Amino acid sequence: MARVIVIRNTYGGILYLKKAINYVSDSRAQYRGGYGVNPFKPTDAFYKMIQIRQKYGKVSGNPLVHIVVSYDKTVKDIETAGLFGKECAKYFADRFQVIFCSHESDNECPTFHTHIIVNSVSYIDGRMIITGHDEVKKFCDYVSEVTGQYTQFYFKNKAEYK
Amino acid sequence: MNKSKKTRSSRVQSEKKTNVTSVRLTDEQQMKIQELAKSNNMSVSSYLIYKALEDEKPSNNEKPCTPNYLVRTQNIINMVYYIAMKYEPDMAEALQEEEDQLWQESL
Repeated sequence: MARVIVIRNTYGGILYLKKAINYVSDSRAQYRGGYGVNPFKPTDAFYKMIQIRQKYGKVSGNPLVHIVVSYDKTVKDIETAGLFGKECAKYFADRFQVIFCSHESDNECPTFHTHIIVNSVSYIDGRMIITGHDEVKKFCDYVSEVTGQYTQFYFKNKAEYK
Repeated sequence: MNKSKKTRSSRVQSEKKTNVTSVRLTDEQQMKIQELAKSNNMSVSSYLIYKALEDEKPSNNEKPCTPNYLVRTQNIINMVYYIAMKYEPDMAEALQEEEDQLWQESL
């Protein structure tokens, strides 16, 4: 069974967005990618997300959604996790800028997993992303199609980036 | 133990939409504006504000770059980047720099 963890942290403002982007761009990040941003330069990714928010007058407010897709033990290599991660991140790409990477198992997650950072302001119309139960359930159904794994989710309403 | 005070990332005052303005329209005007808003994937309010406050059109009548176009070009550049990195890494970096410049000029 795959797990989708939706980290919703409304503290920290835009600096939280910068830290989150840096987190998915550090030395552990593999199979990095992005939609609507340059995934290989965190500073660039950050500023392009800010530019979109500035365009719609929504620099402040909830800065991002951080989603962790944790695959089950049938995923045995980072290449597969990377391919899955790219497809999972693509779900948001037609409306939102996204940056993502995959990690091997670590202290935070015992299996291969993908981190997806979504700019909460849509580049299409400036509307904020909605991450209610129904919306996340639809994403989980999509993840199930991509991975072939039954997928459940839960919300994690705090996060600290060091 | 001291705990730093956390503040929710609520909207700053300058971005809060607290003002309301009413507009009188004919049936035809309302229908037309609704169609235009829909074709631009916007609400009527967002569309009216956008059109009222958008920058002056360039004198050469070029279509201004919307965020949607910029995101699409970034995605194209990202795909090309992967290919270029294999054969011409310098070119790959130059492509991204050109894309960055486009963003700076357009938004």
